[in-house]
Amino acid sequence: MTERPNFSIVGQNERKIDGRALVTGKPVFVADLQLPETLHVKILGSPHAHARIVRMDTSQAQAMTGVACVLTHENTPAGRHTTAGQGFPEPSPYDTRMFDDKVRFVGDRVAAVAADSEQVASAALKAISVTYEELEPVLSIDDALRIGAPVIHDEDDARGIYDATRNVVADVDIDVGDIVAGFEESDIIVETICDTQYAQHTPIETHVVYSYLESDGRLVLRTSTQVPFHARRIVAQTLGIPICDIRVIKPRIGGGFGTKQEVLLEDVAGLVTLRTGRPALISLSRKEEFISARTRHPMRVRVKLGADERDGTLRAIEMEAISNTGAYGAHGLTVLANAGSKTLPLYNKAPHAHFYGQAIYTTLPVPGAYRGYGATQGYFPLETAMDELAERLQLDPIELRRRNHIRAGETSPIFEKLGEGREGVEQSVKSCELERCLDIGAERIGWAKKRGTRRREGEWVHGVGMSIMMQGSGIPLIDMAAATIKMNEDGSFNLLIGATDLGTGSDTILGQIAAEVLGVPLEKMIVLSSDTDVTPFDVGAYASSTTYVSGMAVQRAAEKVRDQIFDISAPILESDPKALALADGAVLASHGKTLSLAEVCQRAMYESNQFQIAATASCVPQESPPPFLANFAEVAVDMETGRVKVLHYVAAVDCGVAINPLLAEGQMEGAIVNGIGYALTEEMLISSRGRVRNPSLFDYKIPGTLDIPKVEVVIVESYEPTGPMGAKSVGEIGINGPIPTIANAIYDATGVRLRQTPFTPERVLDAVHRASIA
Amino acid sequence: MTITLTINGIRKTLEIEPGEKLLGLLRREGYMGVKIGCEAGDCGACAVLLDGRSVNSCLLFAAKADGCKVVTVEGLEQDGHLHPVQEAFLDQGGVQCGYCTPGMIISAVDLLSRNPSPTETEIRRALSGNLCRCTGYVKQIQAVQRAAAVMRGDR
Amino acid sequence: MIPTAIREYIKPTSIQEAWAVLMERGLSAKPMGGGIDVGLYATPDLRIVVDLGGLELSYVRGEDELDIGATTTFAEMIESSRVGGYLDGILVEILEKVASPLQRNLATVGGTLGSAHPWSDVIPALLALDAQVVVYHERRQTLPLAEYFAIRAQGERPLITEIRLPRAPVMSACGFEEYSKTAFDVAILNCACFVELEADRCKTARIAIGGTPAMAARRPTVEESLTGARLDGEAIDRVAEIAERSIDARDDRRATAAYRRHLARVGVSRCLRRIARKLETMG
Repeated sequence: MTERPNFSIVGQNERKIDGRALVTGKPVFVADLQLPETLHVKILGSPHAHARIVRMDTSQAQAMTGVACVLTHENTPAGRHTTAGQGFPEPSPYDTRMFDDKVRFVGDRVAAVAADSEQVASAALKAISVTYEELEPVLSIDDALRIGAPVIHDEDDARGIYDATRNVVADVDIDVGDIVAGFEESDIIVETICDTQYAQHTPIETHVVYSYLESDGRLVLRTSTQVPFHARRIVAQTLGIPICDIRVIKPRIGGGFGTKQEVLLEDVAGLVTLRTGRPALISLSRKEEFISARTRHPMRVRVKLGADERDGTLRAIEMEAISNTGAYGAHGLTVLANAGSKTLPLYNKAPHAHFYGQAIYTTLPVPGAYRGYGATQGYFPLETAMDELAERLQLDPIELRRRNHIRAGETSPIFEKLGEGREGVEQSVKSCELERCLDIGAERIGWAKKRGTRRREGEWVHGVGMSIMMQGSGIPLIDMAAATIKMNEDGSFNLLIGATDLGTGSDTILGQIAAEVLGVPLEKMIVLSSDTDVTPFDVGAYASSTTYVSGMAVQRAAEKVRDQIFDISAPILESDPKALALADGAVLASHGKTLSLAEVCQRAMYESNQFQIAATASCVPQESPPPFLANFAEVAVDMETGRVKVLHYVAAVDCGVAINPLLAEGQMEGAIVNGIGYALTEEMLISSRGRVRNPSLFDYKIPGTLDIPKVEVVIVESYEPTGPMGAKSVGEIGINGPIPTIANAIYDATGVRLRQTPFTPERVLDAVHRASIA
Repeated sequence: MTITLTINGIRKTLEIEPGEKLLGLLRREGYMGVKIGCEAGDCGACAVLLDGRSVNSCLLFAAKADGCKVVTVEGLEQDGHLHPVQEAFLDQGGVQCGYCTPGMIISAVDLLSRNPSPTETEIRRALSGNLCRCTGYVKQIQAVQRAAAVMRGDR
Repeated sequence: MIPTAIREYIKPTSIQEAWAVLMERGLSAKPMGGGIDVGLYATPDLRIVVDLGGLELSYVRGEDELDIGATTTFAEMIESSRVGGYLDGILVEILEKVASPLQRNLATVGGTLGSAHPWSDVIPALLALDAQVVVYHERRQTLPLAEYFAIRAQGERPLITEIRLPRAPVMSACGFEEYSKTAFDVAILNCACFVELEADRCKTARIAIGGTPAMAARRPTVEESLTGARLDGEAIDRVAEIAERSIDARDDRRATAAYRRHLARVGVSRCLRRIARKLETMG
């Protein structure tokens, strides 16, 4: 591993710079604004999974006292766009109208009412009469692919759908080598099919937008978003107004996890404000969040592995994924492709590989971006198959991984062939501490002692399981981030970044990077982020890009500012600029003389050759260096009830250099617990008419404090030479671990393989019973 | 109807709707630290202290708070000094997006006001009505342990 | 905020006053303890809520028996040494897992009986403990809890003022089991069992199973099979099997009927085994 320099601020557990405001309950979230005359907007959702709107009568609603505006397909722009917050041109179909004359899932947008109060708005919704022509719903992938199935997107102005007549949003087919020959050459073949369910992010703050007109008449969207710049562009496109007439501000937001990488409500709020001149607030109720926000893509994924029986080296890997992308295709192609692009390169020893997948429309709630983004669904069958292969080979599962995983200095042909859209970018791995992750994780869980023992404790039988994974750090050649730094005369700096802090702490760690370069404490770095009028461009928080991509932009901007400081200081200190350094708020010359940063900026601002010390820098990543993770879990299964308890979960992660270890651990811990919920208890249930049956936290169960195991996160640092300060990323990878790790642990405990999530007690018990009969 | 109650030490007489819940009243009065998460008592983001006890303000009829002492997260700071629970959350990495944080802190303050040496299980139980999606709870539990130690004078 | 049709909130100072309003206003009025369910499940018909908090019904009294005022909160019950001392603290053990600590600070024992949720953990426990309720129904009456529910099923709405638990016999113990997805969740199935031994045999057995998904009820067939028998493994297995076969389970979005029946067997078995262990240490 390349030598990691000694840092002063990077690598420290600095307190989050927004922390004090958050623990004291300051009004820093979207809905904490209270402007006079604010209109409350409520949205009417479709009661049908698939229907045409034949007739609408909003006259009664419009006539109600306190109603300012009613929006429907009859009085709003008709152009199609995607709600997916992705780089332009978005790799998602333009299949969404602001308000359509056709509805495609229960809860799909039919109308919106803006009124003086929530009460009036709700009453007005009830006064809207809609006549629907019900169409046949399409409630499963099989239904969607049947000959003669209804065409869900039969409009003639949609673009970017692979084959709308067959409800296929996307189709991906990537070959490496000759997969048929690969399997013929293999001594042992293992195949498994795994299903993952509809699950939801459930951020504690639902989607919310507050729009208003600036004093100069420009539209401001104060929104809970992961993608302020994409939101600005997509709203401009949807409403047909210039980008320069819109300002998007992201204040503090209450979690996103991908569901806010979506331009879901901004167009409606914006249009209400433009038409009425008044501020408008839309916030989804928890029920509406479940029904009409975004979800995980349910997927059926088949993995087939072919290996050499002498040493377990893989000869062939095949993955086939069918993804349910719901009523609209946002993120349909990219999540599908990620199921393969973030998984298959992990086992680069196989000379033959094949990835095939399709994303299919159904008239069901709409999946979108969700932490892990396809990799989560792909690792379930891949790490299950590896576990099965290890057993067939009579090899320890850890050993099988060691013999097959990618190492530093290596590449995989998948990197080039499969990216997030279609093609990827060739790259070689430059940092990988997976071996140490495996060592540490195995030791912490007590692998050697526990594996294969099926220890009984009363009604509980214990088992341990493991899995490994990689993810990526940003989207190479496509993502772009920028940062601006300007200096103040007291030696402090303003750091302006487009990068979007969803609570992840990116404001803090990007501040740390800048502070490190400029040799100042974090308190001297004033961070302002995610305001499209003030901060430079950033794609936003997704694809685990913020530390790696935005961080590098920050580092570069800081280096440019540092160079300006040196240029001013060099003659004063009678030194070569190259012999200067920054530390403790001062410029140090190698011969010992110093000049404080305050003095430098005073001079530049007021005294001689005045100019603003400032710089902007950008970063387009050339590669996407993967973080690596080894997961280990001990579970106990109650053989009488089927209940699975995770007792101990160890995650050893190589995220490169951890800019702020406490925050990096926090990302892992949160992702792991979310993943445990996804593995054991979370499931959106859909009725035979396409309705979500459990749209509440009462009925959709996420883990609470009494449900979590002992969670142990160990950061195993590597040094990534292409990353800012050696960093990679850590935001998503943790959520991919629990499903396969727990499945493998359940197998160790019970001898039963589960291939459908969540692993509810009923499913476990059922599988145990069937196995005992067989 | 009118109610009189103390909010963060300040006595207030307020006009309310008979059927409304304390959550709406508090936010209308500007206490934005009290959050809306589900309006059904399932997530705890709206937690406030009612006569010292953590309750879901989305479930509590505002009229029922008549004559009571209500403390929101905004009322924990004293003379610019953070409550030890607030400090501990900052110190231990217990705050990510911060949306569940006020409610979580309120429940922790309730616990520590009556149980200065809680076991880990007791801490978990006290926070079991506050959902978080960002942190996985690990550092929040550690923060409460740390705050308890500070309040006992251990460190 | 979720709109409500409630236009009046009153807090009477006497039970007669409360009763008069409820009678006069019929279905447009509801009594409330903590008000959780009254608020959550308010229909557009609900116009007036009657807060019983002014009736001084928050207390835990009694020497060997337990008399609990209807507006006593779960938190108050958990912290009451009297409740803690009753039958080895079984009520504390159960209540500590009901809902969330925030809700336990508001929820009242009278309110929970009034709500009569099918998943209620408190109801099977009180049925197994042979609880009686003191109600105001034109006048004060004391009824077995099951009779209160029977009257409710006929459309009457007697007002609970107190819950009474009888003195627990010396050689007796209670056990409780519930199964749910997460800790802060309602039961897919729950069961409460009470056994009194006399000369090593079950003199009294009370077994209540709930969440089937119907509300908890005593199971006479199951109880009969235990009465008079020794509380040994063989009897427990037999009783548990009868429980599995006899309960009225149905599918719903939380669980299937078949799984609930299975859980009834496991639950009764585990409850009785725990009771047997408790009684052994006493004997």
